[in-house]
Amino acid sequence: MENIHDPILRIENVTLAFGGLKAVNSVDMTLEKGEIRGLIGPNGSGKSSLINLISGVYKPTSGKIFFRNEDISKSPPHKIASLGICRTFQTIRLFPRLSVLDNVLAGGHTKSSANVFEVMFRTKSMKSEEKWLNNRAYEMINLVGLSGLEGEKVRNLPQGQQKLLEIARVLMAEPSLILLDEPTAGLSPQETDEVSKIIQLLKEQGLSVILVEHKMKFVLGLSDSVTVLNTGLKIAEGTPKEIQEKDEVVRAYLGSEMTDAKA
Amino acid sequence: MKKVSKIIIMLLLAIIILSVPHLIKSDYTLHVVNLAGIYAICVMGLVFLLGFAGQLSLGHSALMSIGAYTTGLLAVELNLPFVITFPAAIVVSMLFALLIGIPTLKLKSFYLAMATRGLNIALFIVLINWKRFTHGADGIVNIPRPSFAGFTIQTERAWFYFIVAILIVCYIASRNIEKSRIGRSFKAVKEGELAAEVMGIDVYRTKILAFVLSSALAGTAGCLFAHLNQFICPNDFNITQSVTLLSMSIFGGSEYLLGGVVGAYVLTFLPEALRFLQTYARFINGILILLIMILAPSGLFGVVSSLFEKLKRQKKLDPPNNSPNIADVEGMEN
Repeated sequence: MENIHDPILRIENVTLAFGGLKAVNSVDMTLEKGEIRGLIGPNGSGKSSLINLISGVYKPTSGKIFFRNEDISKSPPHKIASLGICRTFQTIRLFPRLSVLDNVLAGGHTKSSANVFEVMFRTKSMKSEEKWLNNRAYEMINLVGLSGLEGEKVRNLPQGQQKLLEIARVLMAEPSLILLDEPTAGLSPQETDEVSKIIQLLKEQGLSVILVEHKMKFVLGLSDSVTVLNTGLKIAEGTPKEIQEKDEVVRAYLGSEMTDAKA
Repeated sequence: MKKVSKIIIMLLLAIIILSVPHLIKSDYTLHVVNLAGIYAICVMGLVFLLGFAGQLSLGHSALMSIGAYTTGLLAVELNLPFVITFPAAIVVSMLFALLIGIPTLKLKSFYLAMATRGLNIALFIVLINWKRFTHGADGIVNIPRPSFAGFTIQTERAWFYFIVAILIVCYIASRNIEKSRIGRSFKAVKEGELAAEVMGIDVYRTKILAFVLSSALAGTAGCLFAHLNQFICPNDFNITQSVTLLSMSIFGGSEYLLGGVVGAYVLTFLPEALRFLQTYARFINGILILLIMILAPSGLFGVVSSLFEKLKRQKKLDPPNNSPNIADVEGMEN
């Protein structure tokens, strides 16, 4: 049974091994409802692998992942998405030859249920469902500031707008947990601010977010708490302030190359 | 304004359709028109599969043969009326697709193409050799004309209206599917399986659904084919026929339902129109297809629709707005 105070996500001793290489090594992590969790670490530290594990793209070699107390470690990605976990990708994975509107509408797949016969005969319930989807899609496109581009093919958009569109597509599914894998990679400072505002808005609505980012100011400013990974191991966890003060983190990560190179 | 022009186009289309059988005097030509209409229904199914869901079938004429033999055997051996054999033909072809799709669509890339090709070859052999059931190479003869409440669809002219009516119904149903969550899930799967999957789309089931729907249209076409010709034999549904159907969808524009229809009519009539070239007819036919595919890689209908899009965009972009986009420049080369 789900309790209101239960964590939304619980990762228990999860390992992901590719042959002998452990991309994720015995990681434990708990995420509370409405929490924004920053996930940081150098390149190859296992951040994206962890996102892939939670969203079901990879299956853990050992360990378990619970979403609202339901074991999802063996579920296929589409099942996990329909439970309410949605994600974006580090490299943009939109549907390039479809319009902006159709991309966002496709994100609402789990929020609609019309079957073949209903759509063939355009039944009343199907039409009202489509109307709802359309209204929400326009809303989401507006939220990320892409209004007016609904009919445009996605491949015609610059990268920054595509990143924003990916967020709109995720929000379309009304998820309760959002996994954002480097949402601001390749974005201009203004666009980064835009994303930051959107994430803040999501927090106000009570959504939980896991945020993988390299831009330190961005991730430390937004997160309630931060988990630091290094070579697949969790090396630290705490509030942004605590993390910045931890010697090992600063040495391994913050202090040296990352702040100057990636920020 | 938009509505008015839509009504005018519909009226014009209706007038053209109604007048075709009166303009074409020869029964033979009208028969070819009717065959093209039947192929158009099947090719729309290929558009579903290839153009929307990105799956390749090299054996669609085998699925057509399932529809044709189902209705033929039921009508000839059991004397069942068309109103029963027609839906039966559709259902049996869908079941066949399900049977083929379940084991093969779990695999990625071109396995469906090989599986459908295998089906085409194997089924052809079965149809030829299982003489007691299928009458072998002699085929099924004397398949009755469909009749409804005493009215029999006998003449080529009556068949023309009958086929066009079914074609329109199939088109509207397909169009409705395309413009829905199901059509979007097909296209999402084609554009990126992983992205579709994490959006909650069950990629495997979506591919099966596309294949089964596609087969329903193939079965419909096969059933009409049997009753129009009143005779079917295994050779009507060989591999070459499958490839022709595929060419029709690509030629017309495999991503557009209407493209499939256009492709079916054009490719059926091209050989007829080139007949005066005698020995050279097939050669020129091939060269023409080659040329058009080079000039219009997205198919006849694809070129028209991208032209329209460009016009629309130019109108919209007149005010100084929007950055230049790279993909557009790429598109210009075509």
